[in-house]
Amino acid sequence: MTAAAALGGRVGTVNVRIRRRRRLVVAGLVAPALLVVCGALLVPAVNLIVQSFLESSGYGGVVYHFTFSNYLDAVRDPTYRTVAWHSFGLGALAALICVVAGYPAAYFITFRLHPRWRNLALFLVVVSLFTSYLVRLYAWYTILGGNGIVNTALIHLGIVNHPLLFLLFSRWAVLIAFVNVFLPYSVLMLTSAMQNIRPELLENARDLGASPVRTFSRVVLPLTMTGAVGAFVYTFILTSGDYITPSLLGGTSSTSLANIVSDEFVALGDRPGGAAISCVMLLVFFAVYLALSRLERWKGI
Amino acid sequence: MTDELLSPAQRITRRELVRRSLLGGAAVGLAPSLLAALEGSAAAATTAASGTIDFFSWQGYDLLDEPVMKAFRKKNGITIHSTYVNTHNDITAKFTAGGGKGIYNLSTYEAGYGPFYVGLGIPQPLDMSKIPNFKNAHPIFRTGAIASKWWHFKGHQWAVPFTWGIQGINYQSDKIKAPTSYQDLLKPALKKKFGVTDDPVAAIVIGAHATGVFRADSLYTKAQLSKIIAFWKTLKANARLIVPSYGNMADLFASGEIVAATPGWAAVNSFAASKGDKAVKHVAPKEGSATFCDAFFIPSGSKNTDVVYAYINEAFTLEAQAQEAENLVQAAVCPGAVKLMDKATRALYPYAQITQILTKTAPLEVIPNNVPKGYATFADWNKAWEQFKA
Amino acid sequence: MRRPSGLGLYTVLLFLFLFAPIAVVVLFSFNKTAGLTFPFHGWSLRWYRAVFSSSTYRDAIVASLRVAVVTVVVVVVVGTLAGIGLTRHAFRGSGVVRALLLFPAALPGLFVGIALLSFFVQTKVTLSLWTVTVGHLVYVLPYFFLVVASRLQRFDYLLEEAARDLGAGPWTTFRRVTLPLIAPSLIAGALVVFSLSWDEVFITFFTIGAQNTLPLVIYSTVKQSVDPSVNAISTLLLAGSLVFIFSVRRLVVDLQQ
Repeated sequence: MTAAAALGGRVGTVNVRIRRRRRLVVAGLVAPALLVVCGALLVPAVNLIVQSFLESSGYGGVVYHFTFSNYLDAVRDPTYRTVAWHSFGLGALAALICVVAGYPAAYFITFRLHPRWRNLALFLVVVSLFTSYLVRLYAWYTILGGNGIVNTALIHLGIVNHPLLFLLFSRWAVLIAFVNVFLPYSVLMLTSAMQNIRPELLENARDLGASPVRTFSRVVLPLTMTGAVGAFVYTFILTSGDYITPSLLGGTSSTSLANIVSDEFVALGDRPGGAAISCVMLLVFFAVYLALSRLERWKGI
Repeated sequence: MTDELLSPAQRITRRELVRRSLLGGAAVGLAPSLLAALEGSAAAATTAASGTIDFFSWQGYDLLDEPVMKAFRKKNGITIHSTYVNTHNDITAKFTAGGGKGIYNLSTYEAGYGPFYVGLGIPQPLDMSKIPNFKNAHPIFRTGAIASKWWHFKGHQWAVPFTWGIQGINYQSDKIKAPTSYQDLLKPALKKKFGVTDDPVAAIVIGAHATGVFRADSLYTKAQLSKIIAFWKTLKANARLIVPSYGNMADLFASGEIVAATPGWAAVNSFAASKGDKAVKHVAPKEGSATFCDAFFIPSGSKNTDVVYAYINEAFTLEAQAQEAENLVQAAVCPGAVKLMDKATRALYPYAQITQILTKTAPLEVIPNNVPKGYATFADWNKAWEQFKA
Repeated sequence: MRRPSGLGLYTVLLFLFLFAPIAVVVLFSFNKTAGLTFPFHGWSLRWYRAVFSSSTYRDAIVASLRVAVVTVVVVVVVGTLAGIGLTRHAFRGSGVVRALLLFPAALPGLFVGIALLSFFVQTKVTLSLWTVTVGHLVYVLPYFFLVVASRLQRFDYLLEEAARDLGAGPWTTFRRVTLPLIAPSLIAGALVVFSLSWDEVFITFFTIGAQNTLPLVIYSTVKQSVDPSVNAISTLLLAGSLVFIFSVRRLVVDLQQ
């Protein structure tokens, strides 16, 4: 650089050359990753969106004729609408519970535990993610079933006379499994958000006479809003897009919107129909994400 | 129904077989296999492929447990990779939108799906000179109106039927009396104690019987279809769950979550028995039941078809047919196999009246893929079932 | 903990809830009978023997390993390069590129799965473990990128400049200075990627060929007919991953020193 400066008038061209080379290096560094995302996601995704405007000829076939009817079907069909409400509702409820239930634990882990124990606690949270998702799902058969642990205990304790059958094969069971699977993610995201809060800040608030609730709502909450929104959106998207948990634990309400997409797509071979429903799903996710990040910004002020 | 009469040797489950092979010294540790994974796995895959059957269909139809088939596989060095389906739609899906062509080289279709699948280009024409044992099958499955409707048409043999049976209600015989009618499931005593199986075709045929609109050609108006779905919705309101697969039904019986399920499948009796629940039985209620006949087919674009042909051919030996009938609690297609069965299996199906049954009393399920205007198509059936499940 | 607090009790209960299904899985892997309900009939290792002698599980583990290993190798290389490119040199559109790389994490597996399946079927690509790997690559890339980018943002570039002033070329600088410093994060990221790929079922379900990965075998078992051998294999994997995490932690600590 000093040499370049000494060259006076030629500095501009050298700078351009350095910049051009640097741009080339950056392009070379970023290109492979972009190639992966474009080749393995963007192109197939655009292809899927295009298909959602085509006509299905059944069983995997499409007719190259532009139509909007798949979307009309997706939005108008009363079956889809019922299922959509249930799927999104259950997803939102699961996400809300995960965030709300995660806060106290994340707070305790971050501010009340000795660093040594804190690391152990976080380690345990990560470990809980290391058992197969599916295996953890069917473990609920053993826990919540008619002859399961909970019912056996309740009967032994004389609290109920007959097993509570609604515990398994119901929306409750799906909700419990969702919270069980996604709570660790919430705790991790919230903990990592809270680690950015300096403990002195909390002490100051307490010294100034703020009640714990006030400290939480005025200090902790605003400073961790990004983490909370992230955890909510993550859980909401992954639970309302789940086609496995409801079908295993949902009982007579085992259909989810994701299930319908999967059925449309593979079982009925109606690619455009399935594509349209999944695009509508994505739009909902996107809208929820936008709305919440607005909320977060507003809360920040 | 035959469980209590089966000898212990016949009741060997796959898991016990696994254990025996372990005792036989075939134990292979996990660690070496993990190392092998990181080394020459590609080479291993190519040598194994010479005798590999990639099977995609119902659990049990790969004939893993039948001693004759087991011996045959061992003698010829045949390995089977099986992927089991939950519903027949899974098969349609895999070979159309699901990219299964060229991957799986053995599958099965229920009779009614024959013309539908051939129209979609799913099966390839069979070289019958490679399945000489098919001559053992009853003539009704080889020639004549039924055969040319479902398996032999357009100048080709597309599939070879190897088993048939009926679908009614499975029930836990030590806890409840045999249901005689589908309406029995609505009794308060069974509230939240039975399951409805996610099997749209069998369900709609059964629903047609139950609502009195059954037709052998499966042509129902949309109004009739709604009536059938309404029948299932009444059942659903009383049911504990929608059973995702027949294999799962066995688990639900064994863990005591349900005491009955419909549409049923007699093979569930033996699945449940291998789980320690020997009291599951199957019954055909008075309204009628669904009749199915499953046939092996080779998907178009299949590789290694010689080994598949050999396996199919072996499945039509009389011993294999008898063992399969016992194991799956289903009917054999070879009359010669009947005398090789034990008494109970022989008594299960009225083999002497097979023509009468399949042509008159309980005709095979038809898939309405090509219907006159005004009738519900197969797509309508699936949509209606989707609506039922929602 | 100064005094027993409600918050502490709550956290303990929350951990109990998190681990309840895992405890059940481990317990029943030692069950004597095939049942998965109480009463528990006694202890046995039969399901472990079943796992070790089952070719289905063996093939599935091999398949899962192949997918996970290839995914890890590709993502570590590609993700590290992108991380360096994006954190070191601000350029026009870097925000867009960043968003693109993180975008897959905001999609349900269902969407990625059907998009890929439909693309593969249309372009007549035969489904295999390679098509599964493609799906996994795009699914795990954001997670790896996040781990590495957060490390690189805290990176002290003076160290690199010092090396260059001492006459080291860019490659030597990277190998002798940058890489050792970011290695712990790369290993942590690789671990995350491995575990995500190892347990992935939503995308795999759509992109799988004839060879099933372990989660797919478990999925079809759970949907068809379960026995405690599934518990046994899960317990083995849990134990394996604990050993793995611990040794990686050791390695990371060593590297840091």
